[in-house]
Amino acid sequence: METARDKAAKDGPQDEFSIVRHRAKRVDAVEKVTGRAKFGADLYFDGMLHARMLRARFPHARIIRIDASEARKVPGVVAVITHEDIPGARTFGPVKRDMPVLAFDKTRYLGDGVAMIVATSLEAADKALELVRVEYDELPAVFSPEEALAEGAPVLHDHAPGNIVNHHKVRKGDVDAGFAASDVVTEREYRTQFIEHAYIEPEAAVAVPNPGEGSVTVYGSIQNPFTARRVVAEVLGVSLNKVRVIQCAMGGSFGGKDDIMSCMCARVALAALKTGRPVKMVNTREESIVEGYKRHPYVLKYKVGATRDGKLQAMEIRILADGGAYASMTPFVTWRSVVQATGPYEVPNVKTDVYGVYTNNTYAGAMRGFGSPQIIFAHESLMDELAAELGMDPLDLRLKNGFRPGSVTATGQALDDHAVSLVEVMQKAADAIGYREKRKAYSEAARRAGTKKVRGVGLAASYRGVSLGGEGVDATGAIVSVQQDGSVYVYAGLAENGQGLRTIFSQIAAEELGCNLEDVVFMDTDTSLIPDGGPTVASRSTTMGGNAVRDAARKVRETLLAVAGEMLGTSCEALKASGGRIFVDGDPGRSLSFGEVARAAYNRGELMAAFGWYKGPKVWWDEEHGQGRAYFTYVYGCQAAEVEVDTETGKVRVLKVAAAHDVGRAINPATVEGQIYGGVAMGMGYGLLEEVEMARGVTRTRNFDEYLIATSMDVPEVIPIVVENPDPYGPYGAKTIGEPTCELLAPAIANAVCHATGRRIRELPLDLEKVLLGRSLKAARGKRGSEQA
Amino acid sequence: MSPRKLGYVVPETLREASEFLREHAEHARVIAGGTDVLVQLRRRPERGGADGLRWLVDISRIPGLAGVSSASGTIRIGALTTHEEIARNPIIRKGAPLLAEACASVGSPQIRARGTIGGNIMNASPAADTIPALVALSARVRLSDLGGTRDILITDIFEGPYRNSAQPGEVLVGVYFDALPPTCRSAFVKLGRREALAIARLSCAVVIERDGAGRVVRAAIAPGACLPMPAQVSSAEEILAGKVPDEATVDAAAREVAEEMVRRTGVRWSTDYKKPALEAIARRAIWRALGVNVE
Ligand SMILES: Cc1cc2nc3c(=O)[nH]c(=O)nc-3n(C[C@H](O)[C@H](O)[C@H](O)COP(=O)(O)OP(=O)(O)OC[C@H]3O[C@@H](n4cnc5c(N)ncnc54)[C@H](O)[C@@H]3O)c2cc1C
Repeated sequence: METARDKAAKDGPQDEFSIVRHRAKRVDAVEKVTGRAKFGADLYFDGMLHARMLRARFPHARIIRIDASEARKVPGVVAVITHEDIPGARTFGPVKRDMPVLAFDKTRYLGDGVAMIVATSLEAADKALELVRVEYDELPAVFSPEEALAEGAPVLHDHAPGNIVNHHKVRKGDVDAGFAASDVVTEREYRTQFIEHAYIEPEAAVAVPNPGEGSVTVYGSIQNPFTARRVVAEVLGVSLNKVRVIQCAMGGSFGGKDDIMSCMCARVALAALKTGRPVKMVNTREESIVEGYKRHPYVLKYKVGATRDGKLQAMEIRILADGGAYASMTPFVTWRSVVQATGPYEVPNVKTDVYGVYTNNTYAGAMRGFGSPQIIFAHESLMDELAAELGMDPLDLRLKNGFRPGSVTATGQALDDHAVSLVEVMQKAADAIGYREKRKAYSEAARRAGTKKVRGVGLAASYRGVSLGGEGVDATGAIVSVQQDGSVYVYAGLAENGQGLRTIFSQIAAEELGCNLEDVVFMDTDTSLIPDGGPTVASRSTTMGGNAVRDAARKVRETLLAVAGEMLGTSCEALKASGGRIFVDGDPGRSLSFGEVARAAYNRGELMAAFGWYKGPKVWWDEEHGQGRAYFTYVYGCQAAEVEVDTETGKVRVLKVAAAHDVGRAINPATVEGQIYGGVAMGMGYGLLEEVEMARGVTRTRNFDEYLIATSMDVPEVIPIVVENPDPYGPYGAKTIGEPTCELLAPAIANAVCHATGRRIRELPLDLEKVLLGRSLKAARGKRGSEQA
Repeated sequence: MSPRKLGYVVPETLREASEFLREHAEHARVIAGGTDVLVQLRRRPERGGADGLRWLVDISRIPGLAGVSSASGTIRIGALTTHEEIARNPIIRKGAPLLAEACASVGSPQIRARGTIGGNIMNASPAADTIPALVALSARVRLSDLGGTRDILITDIFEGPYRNSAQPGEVLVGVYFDALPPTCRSAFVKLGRREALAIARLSCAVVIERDGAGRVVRAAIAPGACLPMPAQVSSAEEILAGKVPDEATVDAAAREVAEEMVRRTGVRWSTDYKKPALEAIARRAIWRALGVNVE
């Protein structure tokens, strides 16, 4: 239950901090709730044109000819743009450059853009879309990793003859010896589905040509402005400094506005330069769902061995990830999977292979969780299944094998320089839901026959590497600039995605400077104002960007304290800055306002702005041996769910969720809780409702009448349990919260459903049909709803 | 898809509306709350969208089309009455509680505040929530045209999924049924995939009247989202008729509802699920209409 420390963290004013660890109101709350925030689709420019995409007719086809002559004749049409109009690179991609901005040789999924109509009105563009004649040579296609890997399967990309995007492995010890030493060996297969980010705002971008030749400014709903800038520059064939990308207010992203937005930005930029006019493109919801990348479906084969007393001896894991038509983030997503596949448990012998595979489905890429929700569904279902075979309680099995300080991970990393709090989060979540009592009471209740509605409890735990890890360069910057009246600008290379970054960075700047939070303004992310600080992904903003903001603010504070020390006739070591005042520590009567000091510093010609930079601690990865210090630190989380299952209809209601997460330090306890609530709602959708249904490459669920996410009426009482074990690396000890919150609930629900009904469901989501019948009916279903759009 | 250019007319009388609708036939459509029509406009014409539509005829200014009233045992609900109003209306809650339940289960507060019962009927979705309730109430609908009005049984207004039998020019003005006497109980049970904004996966409306001895004198059972055409299941009603229902009788009636569904639809991809689930939903609705809450 709630400890004194949890309570203190909730209640506000804290020990040594005046702004950090406080439940500060979000700095962008008012503009959002009053509707004043400007989103990409809200932008208008004089003479602006509208662009619309013609998409592929076949999931796999060779393009013979594109004839736009009739389309060009439609009144109002200014240009029809195809791959032939691209001056620079025709393809892009974060890892492999395999994705066309405009399809040229082939189409590989139905979201591919083949031609772009640019017109003075949407009506004209739509009319022209119907008149573009594309001659195709349809090719055989593959719609699952199994099909794609079969001998003689059609090949999507010449560079990948076996349709393999990547293969990652982890090797530790000797699994054969481990299984030989085991009393119980359990083998299971689990499956997960395609899911959609379902951000409230579909993709939108506007490009405005600048006076300089080949120069353009792009605005939009862009998760990673620097990534978009690179793609735009490459496609236009210009240098990076000719392209300026400015992020608009974001109506959600969840990892989903990366590649698709780079592509949309490149398209509108091409159109703007070709026509010399501003060009805007906004996806409809249907287009967004058809074109946008998804969370990867995985097929996961797990084999686990343990001694009779429940000590894990070995795990052998083979995973196929459906990457869809293009590589996108598949190599990185599956890398996180391979690192974390055995879960937060000590396993002496491990052999894991994860394959990313090309298919003609919609491509899969980054989505909140990034390769963890799939493997956690598998290893946490497996732990419960193994516990059942051993006749142990699932929590006891986890406690017996769970990481403790000094444990060594599957990749050979000793967890010895941060607080390993797995046991703490598991116990807190279990206590909060009443796991032990309910586990017993409900099994007994179920034995009393006749009840149509049965209850169960279950839980799931994870550990998660913070930030990018071995994926790549991990550094980022910020600027803190104090004005002569004491007001403050903060600029950062990482971007607000709706997660609350503006608030957190503003709090850190205010804490360090000693000014009030209201005095800080966080500036829109603009690639021309700040160095490239890498992408806003991997829950890295608070840890990485927070350190950069802190670094910048400290530098400015030193200048201001030196000035204040002179003014107050004391050394700057004797001063403190807090709550908008700079004062002599222990003698608050001798003080100056922050604004007075700023004005004095300005008048003395001091530099009151500073650049901050933070480079993550060293990590390494040996791809050949599948070993390494994969991430510099980890977070631990556990979610427990109580469910009620209607055994006659298959309907599952989640009654209560307890979510315990170690965040290192909660910079803002309210936004941490916000992340937990949102993550739980997403996790619940993943577990029970959400599935992008694809039938031979055709997306069936194209709008929110068919693609169901949890509503406020579905989300149950959530008990957030914020655990704080400060980390040596993060600012004030802060780590991560964004992604861990959405990776745990699906398996917790599956475990609770199994506890309630005795039926184990190994495929997500646990929809009505699967819970009642134990199998999916979707593959055979007829057309309905938004599919007709 | 770009927004389509449509004309919008706001007639002030039924006559004006009918004249316009006749003149423009398939190019014009009534708009009430718009919660179905506006969604259909998003669909491409060639994929089931509102093909060839050029005019929307907004009937909201026509007087007398909204509200609930009752006279000598007959309840009238105007076509423009919203789900929200019906769900809260005391006449309905007393005289047709199953309809109040059905309306309360529609969509979300926003949809209930805009969506009308007339739109729900005329849209003729197999999953429409008010339809099973109205079928179980043996409701009649009144259509108005230049020549006057005609009343037909609710079941006769349907021609198939999303198709009604109204003629061009006809406007639905209201729906009528007898208030349930105190000897009657009713229930509407809906199964959706989630707790709000959930189209019925299955539903069942039941009205049961019993005599002083507890014998069923009248039973009406109308399942939703599972029959090709909205209808009562008389073979199941007959199982209850004349009996003081016990568990075996109720089980048999519920099973018959599910079996009749399969007879009417044939075996489909979803039958493995729908058959047992409908049986359960029907059983629950029957018990509730017998005054027993089994959930
Ligand atoms: C998000 C969402 C959730 C929904 N959830 C549900 C649900 O849970 N259950 C459910 O049953 N429905 C649901 N619906 C469907 C819809 O809200 C209902 O069918 C509603 O009752 C339609 O009423 P309306 O007034 O909005 O109809 P409109 O859209 O205005 O009209 C619907 C059709 O009826 C015709 N029409 C309307 N009034 C008349 C009239 N008086 N005379 C002749 N023709 C007429 C129109 O021409 C049109 O063809 C939902 C819709 C949405 C968008």
